[in-house]
Amino acid sequence: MSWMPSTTAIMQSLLTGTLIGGYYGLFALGFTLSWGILDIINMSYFPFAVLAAYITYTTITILGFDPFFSLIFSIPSFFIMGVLMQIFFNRFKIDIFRSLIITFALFIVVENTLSYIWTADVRRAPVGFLGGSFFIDTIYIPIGELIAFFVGILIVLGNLIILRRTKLGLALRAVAENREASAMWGVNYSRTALIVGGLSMCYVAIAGMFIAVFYPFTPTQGHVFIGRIFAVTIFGGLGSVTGAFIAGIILGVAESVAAILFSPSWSPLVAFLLLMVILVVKPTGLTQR
Amino acid sequence: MLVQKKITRRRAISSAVAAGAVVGVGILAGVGGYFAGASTGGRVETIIQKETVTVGGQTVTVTNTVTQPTTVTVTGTVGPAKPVVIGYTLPMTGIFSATGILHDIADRVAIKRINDTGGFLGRPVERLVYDDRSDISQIPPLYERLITQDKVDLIVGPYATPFIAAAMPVAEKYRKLYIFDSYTLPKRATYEFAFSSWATGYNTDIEWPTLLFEALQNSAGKLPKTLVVVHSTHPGAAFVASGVPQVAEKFGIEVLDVIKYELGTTDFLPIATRLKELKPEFVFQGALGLDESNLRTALDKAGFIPYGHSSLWPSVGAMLGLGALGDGLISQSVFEAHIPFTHDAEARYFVENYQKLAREVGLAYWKADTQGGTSYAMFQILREGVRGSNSLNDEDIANWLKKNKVDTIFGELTFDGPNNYGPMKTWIAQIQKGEQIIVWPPDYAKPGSRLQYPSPLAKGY
Repeated sequence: MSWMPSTTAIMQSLLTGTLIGGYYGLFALGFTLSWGILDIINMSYFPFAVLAAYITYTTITILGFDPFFSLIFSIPSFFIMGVLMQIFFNRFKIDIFRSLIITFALFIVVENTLSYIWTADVRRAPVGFLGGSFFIDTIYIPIGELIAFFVGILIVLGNLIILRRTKLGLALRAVAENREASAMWGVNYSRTALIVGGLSMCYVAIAGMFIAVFYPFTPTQGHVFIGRIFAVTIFGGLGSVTGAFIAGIILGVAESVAAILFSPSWSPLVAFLLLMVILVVKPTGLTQR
Repeated sequence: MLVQKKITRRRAISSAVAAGAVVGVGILAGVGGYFAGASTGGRVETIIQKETVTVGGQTVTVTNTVTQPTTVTVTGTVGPAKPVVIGYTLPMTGIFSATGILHDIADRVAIKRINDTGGFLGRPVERLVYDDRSDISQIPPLYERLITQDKVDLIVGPYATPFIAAAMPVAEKYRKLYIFDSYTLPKRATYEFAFSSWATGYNTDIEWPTLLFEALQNSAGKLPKTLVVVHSTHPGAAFVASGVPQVAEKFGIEVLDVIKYELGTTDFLPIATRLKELKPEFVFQGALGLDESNLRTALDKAGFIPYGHSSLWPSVGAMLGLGALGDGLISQSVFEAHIPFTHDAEARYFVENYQKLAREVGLAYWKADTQGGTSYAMFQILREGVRGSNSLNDEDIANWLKKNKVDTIFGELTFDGPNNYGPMKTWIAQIQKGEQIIVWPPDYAKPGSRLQYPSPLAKGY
């Protein structure tokens, strides 16, 4: 019963691993911004992503629109929620450890609220062509994952442009480097933090939309991402969107190739061993913010 | 030398607010959970029915297979006596809550039925349910609490194999009767007062695959030549899957590979890629919950759909959510809301009331099936045990159950085999035209149905 994968299978796993990893990276973007720049480990992002999935589900099943249409509702509302959360964090000077506890409590509130509104029942949205794939010879390319990958790249590029070409970006980099020193040079931390908090939640909304595209889900769907997103965030370097995206791809490819070469049950082991090795060699993560 | 740490007013306020926020949010979570029917660690619900009710003249409208009106004649009136309390836990929150809610609904129907028909020995019955939060570490202390502090009269099992296993030693420690509904490791249920309402049979790892291949041979008229076993690390799923290669060999089916994956896997594309290369005629998936529909979706993306695909305990709602892609998926079932099951008056009562409640709470998939059925049957077994033994004593009820047959909504059960297991009564179900029905064996199959194999959706060979 021993099976040796063909070259096609290995190429296929490299490709699908890259695409799935890109989604992990996309999911981690808001998390790494919040953690790296604001010193807020925001656990509530996970159930908020599921909330975005429910908004997408409702948009598809009740309104009959395309999943992407849901972003019209979720992005502005998530931006406002992110800003409100950050106002709270700023007002009470919440530090990194207390942020973990407070946002974990918020995690429970949001998850219970989702159960209250949509019940704990499984939901699956009909996503049409997004659930399909196209073929190049015998290699399949899943459409939804491909779109998520490119959305991730667009966000990373957008962030790079903002960080390197705008005054806001300069302020963000200064805040990430040294909050007090940046304040001495006239950077308004509170206002900058509000923008980062809002932006992070926008990325969560986008990642959450893809949950509804890829999976049947329940209010607890966010749990399955916690380990991976923490890994990707740390692996990529706190606060680095580029690093998070690349780390996501490495993790996705490691999982996928391990599943093909060894066994799917080895996937998490191989992926997290790789993470450990890289962190020993380069403790700051792949890239710097 | 002591160093006095300066605490600023702002920092003090900040700390106080943070602590207050945590406490406040915790309270809010509890309140939210309460309204969601899901309090974290608290008392979820107590149901007491005292009125005499006659339910009659209603037809189940949700499925055309249930055609006879339901009339329940009340056989007893519950007086103002002290209630009999049945304690247990359910995952009302957390990762198992999607199935926990199905059990909760079935249990509510079962308790209402018990009270409508005289309660236990003339006393009303109520349940005391704690939310175990899908957290196995909560199970032993909560069952200790139910038995020693709440002093419930009787206990029943929680939902899902690992949780039932976790509560079993507590039941054994206090010599409590322990009936459960969703346990899939019969060889490990060694406690003498343990009884399963899910008639998996003692040798389900051999018996169920045998039944599956018999169904393919006799109902579909064709056996696959090759097969791949794909299973999760869930102990029950791994146990059933472990018997498949041995049984397949007996039927002359070549097993190409056994693929194991971690419980909680969401990315099935690597497995789909592997299956696409192996091209088995049949995929036996030892899994539960969302895994089946996730693998099916991944297979479709990979451009390979096997001629046959069976699973164990999938989320039926998720599979139906696949639309046409879900058609032909095979799984285990002990109960579906169609004839011959609905020939039984109590089964019709269960179907009617379960489906009504399930729709009221807003479930996307509200049909009565295996999960709810085993839960309802658990209370039927308890009811018959109490009434048969004329006692609320755990040992008396257990001894009565060991010697007697019990009628349930999915047939007559006995508990006279190893570990109190009787014969297997778990059948072959398949999704056909957007509905899950039992297709084998003929005695339990929906009239006129047969197992569809090979699937017309098959591709990629």
